[in-house]
Amino acid sequence: MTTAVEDPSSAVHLWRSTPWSWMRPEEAEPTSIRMTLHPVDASVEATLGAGSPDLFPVVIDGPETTLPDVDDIARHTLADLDGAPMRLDLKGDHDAVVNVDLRAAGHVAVGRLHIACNGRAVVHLHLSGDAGWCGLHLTGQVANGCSLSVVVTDELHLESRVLRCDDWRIGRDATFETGTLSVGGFRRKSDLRHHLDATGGSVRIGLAVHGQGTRHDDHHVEIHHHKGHTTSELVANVACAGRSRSVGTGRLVIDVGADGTDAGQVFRNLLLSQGARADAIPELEVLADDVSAAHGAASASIDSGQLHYLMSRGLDHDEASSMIVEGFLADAFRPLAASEARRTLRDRLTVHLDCARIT
Amino acid sequence: MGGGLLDVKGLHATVEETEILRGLDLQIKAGEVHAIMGLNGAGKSTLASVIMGHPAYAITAGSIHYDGEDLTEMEVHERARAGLFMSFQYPSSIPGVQVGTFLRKSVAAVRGEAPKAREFRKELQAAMEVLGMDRSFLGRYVNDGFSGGEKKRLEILQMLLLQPKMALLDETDSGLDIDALKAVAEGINSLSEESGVLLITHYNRLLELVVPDVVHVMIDGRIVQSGGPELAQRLEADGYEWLMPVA
Repeated sequence: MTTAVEDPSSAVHLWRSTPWSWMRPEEAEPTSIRMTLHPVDASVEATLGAGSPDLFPVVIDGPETTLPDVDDIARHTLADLDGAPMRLDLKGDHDAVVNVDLRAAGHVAVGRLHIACNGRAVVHLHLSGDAGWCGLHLTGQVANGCSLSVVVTDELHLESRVLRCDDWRIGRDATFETGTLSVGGFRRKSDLRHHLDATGGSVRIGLAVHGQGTRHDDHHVEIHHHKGHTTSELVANVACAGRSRSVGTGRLVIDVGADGTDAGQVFRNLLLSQGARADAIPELEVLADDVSAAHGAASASIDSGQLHYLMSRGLDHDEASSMIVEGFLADAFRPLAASEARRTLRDRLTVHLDCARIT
Repeated sequence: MGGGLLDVKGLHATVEETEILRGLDLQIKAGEVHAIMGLNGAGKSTLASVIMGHPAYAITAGSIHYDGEDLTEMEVHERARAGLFMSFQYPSSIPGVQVGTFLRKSVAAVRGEAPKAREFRKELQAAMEVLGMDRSFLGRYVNDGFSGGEKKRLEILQMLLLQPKMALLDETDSGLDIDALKAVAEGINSLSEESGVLLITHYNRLLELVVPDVVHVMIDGRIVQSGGPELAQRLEADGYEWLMPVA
């Protein structure tokens, strides 16, 4: 590290359930995550190339750099490790999914990617590899009137640790939606932040987490409504088996004057074993007067009525349970309007669960 | 076991330690349609649930044999694979599970092998036509956001695809408009002539479209009267007062 940054204490909200000491990369020469853009239709423009550090919120400009907020230690670390950020520029309307492979190898793999959308596109970021520690920082800008769907799936090695940060800015009358299927790695911390910067903007987030063994998955999702007449929706469905643990915190901030905001978030946890644990903590900070803001959280085991119904149709106990779990996780992607995004996530989910059953 | 497809003898059953069925006898032979009518709380739905093996109910006495086998020894899915089907009064919704996927897996489980895609599509299309259902149904999540009528149609669609030997239809007619009722009745009537059917209903209107061989009246956990279709007509006209035990 080029700058001295103190570790946040466990009293810091963001790091309460997953201490920074669990996520800090080991001392090793970092390698860049290899990013590969699949061929796209010739009628559209998608270019992947070198980005610049100022596309990311934390810029390291010397040993005197200080963190504006202790919460930013993850972003700072990613900036410190990654000397070669990338950017993906999307122009025009993309009917097909734009696929980008992110391959993480080595002891410590790090990558930063900025996506600039000036049109309509669905992007699938597929993270894979056997890196012991993987750090990924995604940022993006959805231009006024544009629409971007970002699907993130990962098949990282089961023993990987994963640190992910997102920072998205959404323009006037623009739509950003993102779906994440979180199944890879044994310990994961994600800090995903979304900023609705202008009126008419919309954010829709679907998050499905599958915990197995002793997997630890901590998702912190922030949505900031800086302007009025903006909408947001977050659905996080978590299924935990074995002795896995999941933490989901949703921070919804509606700024002063952001009247006409319509926001909702729901966290649902499905506990599949006695040893599994899932915590859901939705938080609201509403500083405007005329808004609609709803939040909820629920935890339960598999519904006996659903189980009986499916078994009455010939499925044995395991088949019925699997179907319920798959459906529950797939339902997290309900907020996403882009059918290609939903289909991509659904297909990956099916493959993941099939593999999980076999192993 | 008396030669019936379904033989229920002296059945007592409880839910949360409350006795609901109090010595019920019923025999249904292959190809017969039976109807059970009765006041709310008489135990009609409990009977169907106990036969299907719902875990909330406990059998405390009596027996249930199906096709000569002791049904109480079978798991729920084994009952389904043996040809027993129940149409639920309030079917569960399964968010995230598409109807098409669910039907294909269910048919594969009951038949013991996955149906060939093209044949299954044809079969499905034919069954959906009988019930006047749109193909868009297949992409929706099972019973999620369905109207009452849509749920009942989906239940009967499953019955047509699974072609059970014995169908238990629990208030399949409730909440249906006239067109939906006709479609559902057509579905029931198109079941194999060898199939046994137990209709649980409050009203005679379904029995005018699906004519039963035997009508039973259930009161307080027992069958107290059995007869032909005319019994249903009398109940429609006179109610249950004349059958109630004298205090």
